[in-house]
Amino acid sequence: VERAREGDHDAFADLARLALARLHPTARLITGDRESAQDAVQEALIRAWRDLPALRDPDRFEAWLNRLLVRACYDEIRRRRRRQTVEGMAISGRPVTHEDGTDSAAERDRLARAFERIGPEHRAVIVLHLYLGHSIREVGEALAIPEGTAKSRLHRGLRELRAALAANERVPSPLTEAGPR
Amino acid sequence: MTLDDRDRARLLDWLDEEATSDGAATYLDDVLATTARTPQLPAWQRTWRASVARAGDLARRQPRLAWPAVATIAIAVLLAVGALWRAPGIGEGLIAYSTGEGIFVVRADGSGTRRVADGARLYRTPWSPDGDQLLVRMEGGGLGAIDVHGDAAVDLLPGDGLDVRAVTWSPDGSRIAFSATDAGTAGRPAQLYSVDPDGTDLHPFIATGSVDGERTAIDGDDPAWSPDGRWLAYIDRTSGLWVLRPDGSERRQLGVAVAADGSVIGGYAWAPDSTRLTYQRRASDARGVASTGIFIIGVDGAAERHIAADAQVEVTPRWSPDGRQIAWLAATTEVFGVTLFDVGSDRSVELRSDVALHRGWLDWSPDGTSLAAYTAARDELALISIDRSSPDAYLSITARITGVAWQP
Repeated sequence: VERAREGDHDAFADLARLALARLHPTARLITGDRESAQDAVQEALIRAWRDLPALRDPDRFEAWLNRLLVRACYDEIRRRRRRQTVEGMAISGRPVTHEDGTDSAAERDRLARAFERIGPEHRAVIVLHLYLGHSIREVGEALAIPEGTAKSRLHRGLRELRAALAANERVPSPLTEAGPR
Repeated sequence: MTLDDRDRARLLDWLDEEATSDGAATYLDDVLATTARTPQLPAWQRTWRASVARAGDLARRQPRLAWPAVATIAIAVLLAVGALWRAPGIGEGLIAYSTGEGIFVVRADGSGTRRVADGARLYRTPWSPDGDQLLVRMEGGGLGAIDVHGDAAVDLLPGDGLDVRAVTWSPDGSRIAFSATDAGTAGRPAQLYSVDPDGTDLHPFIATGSVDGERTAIDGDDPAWSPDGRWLAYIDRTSGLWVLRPDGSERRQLGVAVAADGSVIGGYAWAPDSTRLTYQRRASDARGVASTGIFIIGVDGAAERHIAADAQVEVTPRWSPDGRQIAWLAATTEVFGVTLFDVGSDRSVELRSDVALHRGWLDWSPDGTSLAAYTAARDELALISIDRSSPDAYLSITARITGVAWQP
Protein backbone atom coordinates (compact mmCIF):
# COMPACT_ATOMS: atom_id res chain seq x y z
CA VAL A 1 0.00 0.00 0.00
CA GLU A 2 2.82 2.38 0.83
CA ARG A 3 4.48 1.75 -2.54
CA ALA A 4 1.20 2.35 -4.36
CA ARG A 5 0.67 5.48 -2.32
CA GLU A 6 4.02 6.72 -3.53
CA GLY A 7 2.94 6.28 -7.15
CA ASP A 8 4.09 2.72 -7.91
CA HIS A 9 1.40 1.57 -10.34
CA ASP A 10 2.61 -2.03 -10.39
CA ALA A 11 2.09 -2.19 -6.63
CA PHE A 12 -1.41 -0.80 -7.09
CA ALA A 13 -2.11 -3.42 -9.77
CA ASP A 14 -1.16 -6.14 -7.29
CA LEU A 15 -3.52 -4.65 -4.70
CA ALA A 16 -6.31 -4.39 -7.25
CA ARG A 17 -5.89 -8.04 -8.34
CA LEU A 18 -6.06 -9.20 -4.75
CA ALA A 19 -9.08 -7.04 -4.02
CA LEU A 20 -11.08 -7.79 -7.17
CA ALA A 21 -12.21 -11.21 -5.98
CA ARG A 22 -13.88 -9.45 -3.07
CA LEU A 23 -14.92 -6.19 -4.73
CA HIS A 24 -16.93 -7.53 -7.65
CA PRO A 25 -19.10 -9.97 -5.65
CA THR A 26 -19.72 -7.27 -3.05
CA ALA A 27 -20.76 -4.76 -5.72
CA ARG A 28 -22.83 -7.44 -7.44
CA LEU A 29 -24.84 -7.97 -4.27
CA ILE A 30 -25.33 -4.28 -3.54
CA THR A 31 -26.19 -3.14 -7.07
CA GLY A 32 -28.00 -6.30 -8.11
CA ASP A 33 -26.63 -6.60 -11.64
CA ARG A 34 -23.39 -7.38 -13.38
CA GLU A 35 -22.99 -4.18 -15.40
CA SER A 36 -23.59 -1.84 -12.49
CA ALA A 37 -21.22 -3.89 -10.34
CA GLN A 38 -18.53 -3.66 -12.99
CA ASP A 39 -18.99 0.12 -13.31
CA ALA A 40 -18.91 0.53 -9.53
CA VAL A 41 -15.72 -1.52 -9.14
CA GLN A 42 -14.04 0.44 -11.93
CA GLU A 43 -15.03 3.74 -10.37
CA ALA A 44 -13.87 2.63 -6.91
CA LEU A 45 -10.49 1.45 -8.18
CA ILE A 46 -9.88 4.58 -10.23
CA ARG A 47 -10.73 6.75 -7.23
CA ALA A 48 -8.55 4.57 -5.01
CA TRP A 49 -5.57 5.08 -7.28
CA ARG A 50 -6.17 8.80 -7.63
CA ASP A 51 -6.79 9.48 -3.92
CA LEU A 52 -4.36 6.97 -2.43
CA PRO A 53 -1.78 9.64 -1.52
CA ALA A 54 -4.37 11.14 0.83
CA LEU A 55 -4.81 7.87 2.75
CA ARG A 56 -3.00 8.42 6.02
CA ASP A 57 -2.91 4.94 7.49
CA PRO A 58 -1.99 2.08 5.12
CA ASP A 59 -3.61 -0.36 7.57
CA ARG A 60 -6.96 1.22 6.73
CA PHE A 61 -6.64 0.50 3.03
CA GLU A 62 -9.17 -2.31 2.95
CA ALA A 63 -11.80 -0.41 4.94
CA TRP A 64 -11.17 2.68 2.85
CA LEU A 65 -11.51 0.73 -0.39
CA ASN A 66 -14.75 -0.79 0.87
CA ARG A 67 -16.04 2.71 1.54
CA LEU A 68 -15.15 3.84 -1.96
CA LEU A 69 -16.84 0.76 -3.40
CA VAL A 70 -20.06 1.21 -1.46
CA ARG A 71 -20.25 4.87 -2.48
CA ALA A 72 -19.62 3.90 -6.10
CA CYS A 73 -22.44 1.35 -5.81
CA TYR A 74 -24.81 4.02 -4.47
CA ASP A 75 -23.84 6.29 -7.37
CA GLU A 76 -24.48 3.51 -9.87
CA ILE A 77 -27.87 2.77 -8.37
CA ARG A 78 -28.76 6.46 -8.55
CA ARG A 79 -27.65 6.63 -12.16
CA ARG A 80 -29.63 3.53 -12.99
CA ARG A 81 -32.75 4.97 -11.36
CA ARG A 82 -32.37 8.18 -13.34
CA ARG A 83 -31.93 6.25 -16.57
CA GLN A 84 -35.02 4.25 -15.80
CA THR A 85 -36.96 7.40 -14.96
CA VAL A 86 -35.90 9.07 -18.17
CA GLU A 87 -36.87 6.06 -20.18
CA GLY A 88 -40.20 5.86 -18.43
CA MET A 89 -39.55 2.38 -17.16
CA ALA A 90 -40.73 1.05 -13.87
CA ILE A 91 -38.08 -0.38 -11.61
CA SER A 92 -39.00 -3.99 -11.75
CA GLY A 93 -37.80 -7.07 -10.02
CA ARG A 94 -36.18 -9.82 -12.01
CA PRO A 95 -38.55 -12.26 -13.69
CA VAL A 96 -39.49 -15.38 -11.85
CA THR A 97 -37.92 -18.21 -13.80
CA HIS A 98 -38.02 -21.48 -12.03
CA GLU A 99 -36.03 -23.10 -14.77
CA ASP A 100 -35.19 -26.23 -12.89
CA GLY A 101 -38.60 -26.32 -11.28
CA THR A 102 -37.19 -27.03 -7.87
CA ASP A 103 -38.01 -25.50 -4.53
CA SER A 104 -34.44 -24.27 -4.21
CA ALA A 105 -34.66 -22.35 -7.48
CA ALA A 106 -37.91 -20.77 -6.38
CA GLU A 107 -36.37 -19.90 -3.07
CA ARG A 108 -33.40 -18.26 -4.77
CA ASP A 109 -35.77 -16.19 -6.85
CA ARG A 110 -37.73 -15.13 -3.82
CA LEU A 111 -34.58 -14.08 -2.02
CA ALA A 112 -33.22 -12.26 -5.05
CA ARG A 113 -36.41 -10.29 -5.64
CA ALA A 114 -36.76 -9.44 -1.96
CA PHE A 115 -33.13 -8.34 -1.79
CA GLU A 116 -33.73 -6.03 -4.75
CA ARG A 117 -36.66 -4.41 -3.00
CA ILE A 118 -34.83 -3.27 0.13
CA GLY A 119 -32.85 -0.03 0.03
CA PRO A 120 -29.23 -0.01 -1.15
CA GLU A 121 -28.00 1.24 2.22
CA HIS A 122 -29.61 -1.76 3.87
CA ARG A 123 -28.23 -4.12 1.25
CA ALA A 124 -24.76 -2.67 1.86
CA VAL A 125 -24.91 -3.34 5.61
CA ILE A 126 -26.19 -6.87 5.12
CA VAL A 127 -23.54 -7.63 2.50
CA LEU A 128 -20.66 -6.21 4.54
CA HIS A 129 -21.78 -7.94 7.71
CA LEU A 130 -23.11 -11.28 6.51
CA TYR A 131 -21.22 -11.82 3.24
CA LEU A 132 -17.84 -10.22 4.01
CA GLY A 133 -18.07 -11.07 7.71
CA HIS A 134 -17.24 -7.60 8.98
CA SER A 135 -18.09 -6.71 12.55
CA ILE A 136 -20.65 -3.98 13.14
CA ARG A 137 -17.82 -1.63 14.06
CA GLU A 138 -16.03 -2.41 10.81
CA VAL A 139 -19.27 -1.93 8.87
CA GLY A 140 -19.70 1.48 10.47
CA GLU A 141 -16.15 2.38 9.58
CA ALA A 142 -16.57 1.23 5.98
CA LEU A 143 -19.79 3.19 5.55
CA ALA A 144 -18.66 6.26 7.53
CA ILE A 145 -21.60 5.95 9.89
CA PRO A 146 -21.68 5.52 13.68
CA GLU A 147 -21.62 1.95 14.99
CA GLY A 148 -25.13 2.40 16.41
CA THR A 149 -26.43 3.47 13.04
CA ALA A 150 -24.83 0.45 11.39
CA LYS A 151 -26.48 -1.82 13.94
CA SER A 152 -29.91 -0.26 13.55
CA ARG A 153 -29.53 -0.26 9.75
CA LEU A 154 -28.77 -3.99 9.82
CA HIS A 155 -31.81 -4.55 12.01
CA ARG A 156 -34.03 -2.51 9.70
CA GLY A 157 -32.53 -4.16 6.63
CA LEU A 158 -33.33 -7.65 7.84
CA ARG A 159 -36.79 -6.53 8.86
CA GLU A 160 -37.37 -5.03 5.40
CA LEU A 161 -36.04 -8.17 3.81
CA ARG A 162 -38.54 -10.26 5.68
CA ALA A 163 -41.32 -7.81 4.81
CA ALA A 164 -40.29 -7.85 1.16
CA LEU A 165 -40.35 -11.63 1.13
CA ALA A 166 -43.77 -11.62 2.67
CA ALA A 167 -45.04 -9.04 0.17
CA ASN A 168 -43.57 -10.79 -2.84
CA GLU A 169 -44.75 -14.28 -2.34
CA ARG A 170 -47.94 -16.14 -1.88
CA VAL A 171 -46.09 -19.13 -0.61
CA PRO A 172 -44.40 -18.93 2.80
CA SER A 173 -40.99 -17.32 2.51
CA PRO A 174 -37.88 -19.07 3.75
CA LEU A 175 -37.34 -16.27 6.24
CA THR A 176 -40.82 -16.19 7.70
CA GLU A 177 -41.78 -19.79 8.10
CA ALA A 178 -40.49 -21.49 11.18
CA GLY A 179 -38.20 -24.34 10.19
CA PRO A 180 -37.55 -27.52 12.08
CA ARG A 181 -35.17 -27.11 14.98
CA MET B 1 -36.17 -9.10 14.83
CA THR B 2 -33.31 -11.44 14.08
CA LEU B 3 -32.95 -14.39 11.77
CA ASP B 4 -33.03 -17.85 13.21
CA ASP B 5 -30.19 -20.22 12.34
CA ARG B 6 -32.02 -21.84 9.43
CA ASP B 7 -33.01 -18.56 7.82
CA ARG B 8 -29.56 -17.16 8.35
CA ALA B 9 -27.96 -20.20 6.69
CA ARG B 10 -30.30 -19.86 3.69
CA LEU B 11 -29.52 -16.18 3.34
CA LEU B 12 -25.77 -16.80 3.59
CA ASP B 13 -26.00 -19.55 0.97
CA TRP B 14 -27.89 -17.27 -1.36
CA LEU B 15 -25.43 -14.40 -0.83
CA ASP B 16 -22.52 -16.69 -1.67
CA GLU B 17 -24.26 -18.10 -4.73
CA GLU B 18 -25.47 -14.74 -6.01
CA ALA B 19 -22.15 -12.99 -5.40
CA THR B 20 -20.27 -15.42 -7.57
CA SER B 21 -22.93 -15.79 -10.26
CA ASP B 22 -20.99 -13.56 -12.67
CA GLY B 23 -17.95 -15.83 -12.56
CA ALA B 24 -14.48 -14.35 -12.47
CA ALA B 25 -14.26 -10.64 -13.26
CA THR B 26 -12.22 -10.11 -16.41
CA TYR B 27 -12.14 -6.34 -16.74
CA LEU B 28 -9.24 -5.54 -14.42
CA ASP B 29 -6.80 -4.91 -17.25
CA ASP B 30 -9.10 -2.21 -18.64
CA VAL B 31 -9.30 -0.59 -15.21
CA LEU B 32 -5.54 -0.68 -14.77
CA ALA B 33 -5.05 0.81 -18.22
CA THR B 34 -7.22 3.71 -17.05
CA THR B 35 -5.49 4.14 -13.72
CA ALA B 36 -2.09 4.08 -15.44
CA ARG B 37 -3.18 7.20 -17.33
CA THR B 38 -4.75 8.84 -14.25
CA PRO B 39 -2.57 11.18 -12.19
CA GLN B 40 -2.57 10.76 -8.44
CA LEU B 41 -3.25 13.59 -6.02
CA PRO B 42 -0.46 16.16 -6.05
CA ALA B 43 2.33 15.92 -3.52
CA TRP B 44 1.09 18.70 -1.27
CA GLN B 45 -1.98 16.67 -0.40
CA ARG B 46 0.12 13.86 1.00
CA THR B 47 -0.58 13.66 4.65
CA TRP B 48 1.32 15.17 7.48
CA ARG B 49 0.93 11.90 9.37
CA ALA B 50 2.29 9.93 6.47
CA SER B 51 5.29 12.22 6.36
CA VAL B 52 5.91 11.64 10.02
CA ALA B 53 5.50 7.89 9.54
CA ARG B 54 8.01 7.95 6.72
CA ALA B 55 10.43 9.94 8.87
CA GLY B 56 9.95 7.41 11.66
CA ASP B 57 10.59 4.53 9.28
CA LEU B 58 13.74 6.20 8.09
CA ALA B 59 14.87 6.74 11.63
CA ARG B 60 14.29 3.09 12.50
CA ARG B 61 16.28 1.94 9.51
CA GLN B 62 19.13 4.43 9.86
CA PRO B 63 18.90 5.83 13.37
CA ARG B 64 22.32 7.43 13.50
CA LEU B 65 21.83 9.32 10.27
CA ALA B 66 18.13 10.02 10.39
CA TRP B 67 17.40 11.25 13.89
CA PRO B 68 19.63 14.33 13.69
CA ALA B 69 17.99 15.17 10.39
CA VAL B 70 14.50 14.64 11.80
CA ALA B 71 15.36 16.69 14.87
CA THR B 72 16.77 19.49 12.73
CA ILE B 73 13.65 19.57 10.58
CA ALA B 74 11.41 19.51 13.66
CA ILE B 75 13.29 22.43 15.24
CA ALA B 76 13.11 24.38 11.99
CA VAL B 77 9.36 23.79 11.77
CA LEU B 78 8.85 24.86 15.39
CA LEU B 79 10.84 28.02 14.84
CA ALA B 80 8.88 28.84 11.70
CA VAL B 81 5.57 28.29 13.44
CA GLY B 82 6.71 30.29 16.45
CA ALA B 83 7.47 33.26 14.21
CA LEU B 84 3.92 33.24 12.90
CA TRP B 85 2.05 32.30 16.07
CA ARG B 86 2.34 34.69 18.94
CA ALA B 87 0.79 32.68 21.76
CA PRO B 88 0.83 28.89 21.51
CA GLY B 89 -1.13 26.93 24.06
CA ILE B 90 -4.48 28.63 23.70
CA GLY B 91 -7.45 26.23 23.62
CA GLU B 92 -7.11 22.67 22.38
CA GLY B 93 -7.95 20.50 19.39
CA LEU B 94 -8.11 21.36 15.72
CA ILE B 95 -9.43 24.46 14.03
CA ALA B 96 -10.75 24.24 10.49
CA TYR B 97 -10.73 27.25 8.21
CA SER B 98 -11.43 27.83 4.55
CA THR B 99 -9.83 30.18 2.08
CA GLY B 100 -10.18 30.59 -1.64
CA GLU B 101 -7.67 27.78 -1.95
CA GLY B 102 -9.59 25.16 0.01
CA ILE B 103 -10.09 23.76 3.50
CA PHE B 104 -7.29 23.64 6.06
CA VAL B 105 -6.97 22.36 9.60
CA VAL B 106 -4.48 23.62 12.14
CA ARG B 107 -3.84 22.65 15.74
CA ALA B 108 -4.96 25.22 18.27
CA ASP B 109 -1.32 25.80 19.20
CA GLY B 110 -0.66 26.93 15.63
CA SER B 111 1.19 23.85 14.47
CA GLY B 112 0.45 21.18 11.90
CA THR B 113 -1.36 23.23 9.29
CA ARG B 114 -2.48 21.00 6.43
CA ARG B 115 -4.88 21.24 3.53
CA VAL B 116 -7.66 18.65 3.60
CA ALA B 117 -9.64 19.72 0.52
CA ASP B 118 -9.11 21.80 -2.54
CA GLY B 119 -11.37 24.62 -3.67
CA ALA B 120 -14.14 24.05 -1.10
CA ARG B 121 -15.75 26.25 1.58
CA LEU B 122 -16.71 25.46 5.14
CA TYR B 123 -20.33 25.37 6.12
CA ARG B 124 -21.00 27.26 9.32
CA THR B 125 -21.33 24.25 11.66
CA PRO B 126 -19.26 21.74 9.73
CA TRP B 127 -17.76 19.38 12.33
CA SER B 128 -19.30 15.98 12.99
CA PRO B 129 -19.94 15.41 16.71
CA ASP B 130 -17.01 12.98 16.88
CA GLY B 131 -14.72 15.57 15.29
CA ASP B 132 -13.68 13.25 12.48
CA GLN B 133 -15.53 14.79 9.54
CA LEU B 134 -16.14 18.19 8.02
CA LEU B 135 -19.03 19.16 5.78
CA VAL B 136 -18.02 21.51 3.01
CA ARG B 137 -19.50 23.19 -0.02
CA MET B 138 -17.56 21.56 -2.83
CA GLU B 139 -16.11 23.51 -5.70
CA GLY B 140 -18.96 22.53 -8.00
CA GLY B 141 -21.61 23.28 -5.36
CA GLY B 142 -22.19 19.80 -3.91
CA LEU B 143 -22.34 18.78 -0.24
CA GLY B 144 -18.93 17.29 0.50
CA ALA B 145 -17.79 15.23 3.48
CA ILE B 146 -14.12 15.17 4.41
CA ASP B 147 -12.56 12.69 6.78
CA VAL B 148 -9.91 14.87 8.41
CA HIS B 149 -7.82 11.75 9.08
CA GLY B 150 -7.08 11.38 5.43
CA ASP B 151 -9.80 10.41 3.00
CA ALA B 152 -10.54 12.73 0.11
CA ALA B 153 -13.75 14.75 -0.01
CA VAL B 154 -16.79 12.77 -1.08
CA ASP B 155 -19.88 14.31 -2.68
CA LEU B 156 -22.79 13.10 -0.55
CA LEU B 157 -25.49 14.16 -3.03
CA PRO B 158 -24.11 13.58 -6.53
CA GLY B 159 -26.56 14.49 -9.22
CA ASP B 160 -29.41 15.33 -6.86
CA GLY B 161 -29.63 18.92 -8.11
CA LEU B 162 -29.64 20.39 -4.61
CA ASP B 163 -27.67 23.53 -3.81
CA VAL B 164 -26.96 23.10 -0.10
CA ARG B 165 -26.91 26.36 1.88
CA ALA B 166 -26.49 25.35 5.54
CA VAL B 167 -25.93 22.11 7.46
CA THR B 168 -26.27 20.74 10.98
CA TRP B 169 -25.36 17.34 12.44
CA SER B 170 -27.63 15.48 14.80
CA PRO B 171 -25.84 15.24 18.17
CA ASP B 172 -25.40 11.46 17.82
CA GLY B 173 -23.89 11.90 14.34
CA SER B 174 -26.46 9.65 12.70
CA ARG B 175 -28.17 12.28 10.48
CA ILE B 176 -27.38 15.53 8.75
CA ALA B 177 -30.10 18.15 8.33
CA PHE B 178 -29.59 20.82 5.72
CA SER B 179 -31.30 23.58 3.80
CA ALA B 180 -31.09 23.62 0.03
CA THR B 181 -32.61 25.05 -3.07
CA ASP B 182 -33.53 22.68 -5.86
CA ALA B 183 -32.08 23.40 -9.29
CA GLY B 184 -35.31 22.09 -10.76
CA THR B 185 -37.50 24.63 -8.97
CA ALA B 186 -35.74 27.93 -9.55
CA GLY B 187 -37.07 30.81 -7.52
CA ARG B 188 -38.46 28.71 -4.71
CA PRO B 189 -37.08 29.36 -1.22
CA ALA B 190 -34.74 26.88 0.40
CA GLN B 191 -36.31 23.80 1.96
CA LEU B 192 -35.15 21.53 4.77
CA TYR B 193 -33.87 18.00 4.12
CA SER B 194 -32.09 15.27 6.03
CA VAL B 195 -29.69 12.57 4.93
CA ASP B 196 -27.49 9.91 6.48
CA PRO B 197 -23.79 10.81 6.82
CA ASP B 198 -22.95 8.49 3.93
CA GLY B 199 -25.34 10.27 1.56
CA THR B 200 -28.13 7.69 1.73
CA ASP B 201 -31.71 7.96 2.89
CA LEU B 202 -32.26 11.50 1.62
CA HIS B 203 -35.65 12.95 2.56
CA PRO B 204 -37.27 16.36 2.71
CA PHE B 205 -38.10 17.35 6.26
CA ILE B 206 -41.84 16.99 6.69
CA ALA B 207 -43.86 18.92 9.27
CA THR B 208 -46.92 17.23 10.70
CA GLY B 209 -49.89 19.50 11.31
CA SER B 210 -51.03 19.60 14.93
CA VAL B 211 -54.75 19.63 14.14
CA ASP B 212 -55.49 17.72 10.96
CA GLY B 213 -52.30 15.69 10.54
CA GLU B 214 -51.42 17.59 7.38
CA ARG B 215 -47.89 16.83 6.18
CA THR B 216 -45.96 19.60 4.45
CA ALA B 217 -42.41 20.19 3.29
CA ILE B 218 -40.71 23.02 5.13
CA ASP B 219 -39.47 26.23 3.56
CA GLY B 220 -36.57 27.20 5.79
CA ASP B 221 -32.90 27.92 6.12
CA ASP B 222 -30.05 27.69 8.63
CA PRO B 223 -31.22 24.55 10.45
CA ALA B 224 -29.61 23.77 13.81
CA TRP B 225 -30.14 20.60 15.81
CA SER B 226 -30.52 21.18 19.56
CA PRO B 227 -27.67 19.70 21.63
CA ASP B 228 -30.03 17.13 23.17
CA GLY B 229 -31.24 16.07 19.72
CA ARG B 230 -34.90 16.67 20.57
CA TRP B 231 -35.46 19.81 18.46
CA LEU B 232 -34.53 21.26 15.12
CA ALA B 233 -34.55 25.04 14.80
CA TYR B 234 -34.57 26.94 11.53
CA ILE B 235 -35.13 30.38 10.05
CA ASP B 236 -38.02 31.21 7.75
CA ARG B 237 -36.96 34.42 6.04
CA THR B 238 -40.52 35.66 5.81
CA SER B 239 -41.66 34.87 9.33
CA GLY B 240 -38.78 34.28 11.75
CA LEU B 241 -37.38 31.61 14.05
CA TRP B 242 -39.10 28.21 14.29
CA VAL B 243 -38.53 24.91 16.07
CA LEU B 244 -39.98 21.46 15.55
CA ARG B 245 -39.31 17.90 16.64
CA PRO B 246 -37.06 15.83 14.34
CA ASP B 247 -40.11 13.68 13.49
CA GLY B 248 -41.85 16.80 12.17
CA SER B 249 -44.27 17.29 15.06
CA GLU B 250 -44.77 20.22 17.45
CA ARG B 251 -43.68 22.89 14.97
CA ARG B 252 -43.98 26.38 16.39
CA GLN B 253 -42.67 29.86 15.89
CA LEU B 254 -40.59 31.51 18.58
CA GLY B 255 -40.82 35.23 19.30
CA VAL B 256 -42.34 37.95 17.22
CA ALA B 257 -43.04 37.23 13.57
CA VAL B 258 -40.56 39.28 11.63
CA ALA B 259 -43.25 40.29 9.16
CA ALA B 260 -44.99 42.10 12.00
CA ASP B 261 -42.21 44.59 12.64
CA GLY B 262 -40.07 44.29 9.52
CA SER B 263 -37.05 42.99 11.39
CA VAL B 264 -34.66 40.27 10.31
CA ILE B 265 -33.63 37.38 12.57
CA GLY B 266 -30.43 35.43 12.10
CA GLY B 267 -27.15 34.22 13.56
CA TYR B 268 -28.89 32.16 16.19
CA ALA B 269 -27.43 29.45 18.44
CA TRP B 270 -28.71 26.90 20.96
CA ALA B 271 -27.88 26.94 24.67
CA PRO B 272 -25.96 23.78 25.65
CA ASP B 273 -28.92 22.58 27.75
CA SER B 274 -31.28 22.94 24.75
CA THR B 275 -33.81 24.99 26.72
CA ARG B 276 -33.09 28.37 25.12
CA LEU B 277 -31.76 30.00 22.00
CA THR B 278 -29.96 33.27 21.39
CA TYR B 279 -30.24 35.24 18.18
CA GLN B 280 -29.68 38.59 16.54
CA ARG B 281 -32.53 40.78 15.32
CA ARG B 282 -32.02 43.72 13.04
CA ALA B 283 -34.75 46.34 12.90
CA SER B 284 -35.21 49.85 11.57
CA ASP B 285 -36.83 52.66 13.52
CA ALA B 286 -39.33 55.14 12.13
CA ARG B 287 -36.50 57.19 10.64
CA GLY B 288 -35.13 54.16 8.87
CA VAL B 289 -32.08 53.87 11.12
CA ALA B 290 -31.18 50.19 11.53
CA SER B 291 -29.91 48.62 14.72
CA THR B 292 -29.15 45.05 15.65
CA GLY B 293 -29.64 43.50 19.06
CA ILE B 294 -29.09 40.17 20.77
CA PHE B 295 -32.03 38.26 22.28
CA ILE B 296 -32.67 35.11 24.32
CA ILE B 297 -35.85 33.07 24.10
CA GLY B 298 -37.00 29.76 25.60
CA VAL B 299 -37.63 26.82 23.30
CA ASP B 300 -41.21 26.97 24.61
CA GLY B 301 -41.44 30.50 23.18
CA ALA B 302 -41.52 32.15 26.59
CA ALA B 303 -39.53 35.07 27.97
CA GLU B 304 -37.93 36.71 24.97
CA ARG B 305 -35.30 39.09 26.36
CA HIS B 306 -33.14 41.75 24.78
CA ILE B 307 -29.74 41.23 26.40
CA ALA B 308 -27.35 43.37 24.34
CA ALA B 309 -25.71 46.44 25.82
CA ASP B 310 -26.78 48.65 22.95
CA ALA B 311 -23.72 48.86 20.79
CA GLN B 312 -24.54 50.04 17.29
CA VAL B 313 -24.40 46.58 15.79
CA GLU B 314 -24.34 43.25 17.61
CA VAL B 315 -24.25 39.99 15.69
CA THR B 316 -23.37 36.30 15.80
CA PRO B 317 -24.18 35.36 19.42
CA ARG B 318 -22.64 32.08 20.56
CA TRP B 319 -23.36 30.27 23.82
CA SER B 320 -20.31 29.06 25.80
CA PRO B 321 -19.92 25.28 26.24
CA ASP B 322 -20.79 25.54 29.96
CA GLY B 323 -23.87 27.67 29.22
CA ARG B 324 -22.82 30.46 31.55
CA GLN B 325 -21.82 33.04 28.96
CA ILE B 326 -22.79 34.30 25.54
CA ALA B 327 -20.21 35.92 23.30
CA TRP B 328 -21.04 38.04 20.28
CA LEU B 329 -19.40 40.42 17.87
CA ALA B 330 -20.16 44.05 18.61
CA ALA B 331 -19.27 47.23 16.78
CA THR B 332 -19.27 50.46 18.74
CA THR B 333 -17.15 52.18 16.12
CA GLU B 334 -16.31 51.00 12.64
CA VAL B 335 -14.82 47.68 13.70
CA PHE B 336 -16.13 44.58 15.45
CA GLY B 337 -14.80 43.47 18.79
CA VAL B 338 -16.08 40.81 21.20
CA THR B 339 -18.64 41.30 23.97
CA LEU B 340 -19.17 38.72 26.70
CA PHE B 341 -22.51 38.39 28.50
CA ASP B 342 -22.81 36.59 31.84
CA VAL B 343 -26.13 34.75 31.79
CA GLY B 344 -26.35 34.44 35.58
CA SER B 345 -25.82 38.10 36.42
CA ASP B 346 -27.15 39.67 33.20
CA ARG B 347 -23.97 41.71 32.89
CA SER B 348 -22.03 42.21 29.71
CA VAL B 349 -18.47 43.32 29.32
CA GLU B 350 -16.53 44.41 26.30
CA LEU B 351 -13.95 41.64 26.05
CA ARG B 352 -12.03 43.12 23.11
CA SER B 353 -12.63 46.38 21.34
CA ASP B 354 -9.22 46.89 19.80
CA VAL B 355 -9.52 44.04 17.32
CA ALA B 356 -11.10 44.36 13.90
CA LEU B 357 -12.91 41.06 13.36
CA HIS B 358 -15.04 39.86 10.49
CA ARG B 359 -18.70 40.02 11.51
CA GLY B 360 -19.94 36.63 10.37
CA TRP B 361 -17.99 33.95 12.22
CA LEU B 362 -17.38 33.27 15.91
CA ASP B 363 -16.87 29.88 17.58
CA TRP B 364 -16.00 28.75 21.12
CA SER B 365 -13.22 26.32 21.86
CA PRO B 366 -14.65 23.12 23.37
CA ASP B 367 -13.00 23.89 26.72
CA GLY B 368 -14.55 27.37 26.79
CA THR B 369 -11.25 29.19 27.21
CA SER B 370 -11.06 30.81 23.77
CA LEU B 371 -13.00 32.10 20.79
CA ALA B 372 -12.05 31.61 17.16
CA ALA B 373 -12.75 34.31 14.58
CA TYR B 374 -10.88 36.00 11.80
CA THR B 375 -9.92 39.55 11.06
CA ALA B 376 -11.93 41.86 8.86
CA ALA B 377 -9.06 41.98 6.40
CA ARG B 378 -9.54 38.21 6.21
CA ASP B 379 -5.88 37.36 6.38
CA GLU B 380 -5.46 36.46 10.06
CA LEU B 381 -7.06 33.67 12.08
CA ALA B 382 -7.77 35.13 15.52
CA LEU B 383 -7.98 33.16 18.76
CA ILE B 384 -9.35 35.39 21.51
CA SER B 385 -8.60 34.33 25.07
CA ILE B 386 -11.51 34.61 27.49
CA ASP B 387 -9.06 35.01 30.35
CA ARG B 388 -7.80 38.57 29.91
CA SER B 389 -4.47 37.65 31.46
CA SER B 390 -3.65 35.42 28.49
CA PRO B 391 -2.58 36.97 25.21
CA ASP B 392 -4.60 36.41 22.06
CA ALA B 393 -3.12 34.50 19.15
CA TYR B 394 -3.11 35.42 15.49
CA LEU B 395 -2.09 33.17 12.63
CA SER B 396 -1.24 34.90 9.38
CA ILE B 397 -2.85 33.24 6.36
CA THR B 398 -1.69 34.02 2.87
CA ALA B 399 -5.18 33.86 1.40
CA ARG B 400 -8.59 35.39 2.06
CA ILE B 401 -10.34 33.52 4.89
CA THR B 402 -13.97 32.57 4.34
CA GLY B 403 -14.84 30.58 7.47
CA VAL B 404 -13.55 29.14 10.74
CA ALA B 405 -14.83 26.40 13.09
CA TRP B 406 -13.36 24.76 16.17
CA GLN B 407 -13.35 20.96 16.39
CA PRO B 408 -15.80 19.79 19.07
